[in-house]
Amino acid sequence: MDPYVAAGYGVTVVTLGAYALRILRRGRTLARSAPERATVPLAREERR
Amino acid sequence: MTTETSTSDIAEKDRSTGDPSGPGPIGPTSGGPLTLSLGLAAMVALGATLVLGLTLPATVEQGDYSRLIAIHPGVAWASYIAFGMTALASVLWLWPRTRSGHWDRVAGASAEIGVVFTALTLATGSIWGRATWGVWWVWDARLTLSALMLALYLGYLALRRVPASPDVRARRSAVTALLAVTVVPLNHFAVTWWRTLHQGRSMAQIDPGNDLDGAFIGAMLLGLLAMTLVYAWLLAQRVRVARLEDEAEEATLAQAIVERRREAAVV
Repeated sequence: MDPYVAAGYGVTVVTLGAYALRILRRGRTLARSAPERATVPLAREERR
Repeated sequence: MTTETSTSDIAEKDRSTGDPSGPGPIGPTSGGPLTLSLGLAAMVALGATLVLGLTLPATVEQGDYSRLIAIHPGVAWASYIAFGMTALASVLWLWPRTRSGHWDRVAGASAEIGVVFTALTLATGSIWGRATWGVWWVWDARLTLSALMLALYLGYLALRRVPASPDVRARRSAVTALLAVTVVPLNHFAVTWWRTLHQGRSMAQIDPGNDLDGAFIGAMLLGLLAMTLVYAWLLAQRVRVARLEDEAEEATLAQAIVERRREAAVV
């Protein structure tokens, strides 16, 4: 395969794949930490 | 009486008080079967584009390099629709009846994806230019405007990170997006309005009387469809992540308030 053609297709697939993975991993990390921050004891503090 | 305030309560309060900076409604792009179907369709279309594009015959004029037609117009097209969506979402945020934090998130997410596609447009175009023109870059109207478009939207993304209240940030981002989008039609018609080294508009190749072979037109159109689907899937995922980021930010703020009150009680 011509190196220029391979470079054109390669850079597109690798960039889109890396960006998609980055978004998915970020979403997974945030979703996993969501239950931990689900409750904030604001009102409990106010009673003190 | 409940003694705890959850992040969803905070979000609900934002909606009920009409706070435009609040999380707002989760749109239809928040995940689930629709996003999964979209992702599968995007993967199939992208795979078909790669197979069809790489098996195109060599041409007399450009040899193997003409195979890049399946990729380059598609990523350029996706950058146009991404920036168009940013402008549309910005209008919907500015319009009082439709104002919602959701549209601000859509605008930011779409601009980020548009920047990725614009960078790919410049990269694949530069590779094609090196192969056919013998140079990586020329200060041609189309190329220069594409680079300007990339710089403008990188500036837009930087502006979104400048510290401000969510309302102020969303307003200035929306106004900036509406100014930046003017470069999109300018870029698209640059090859018609000015004498450029870059070939004419890709879509003009479909016109009757043009001598581009049907297989190349088919590969180009499939590339446009594939990149549109990839864009739509990325947007759905990125908006969902943006919403989670907003919720995490609110939870952090709420936690900081609790700690500050605890400190005050001790003193």
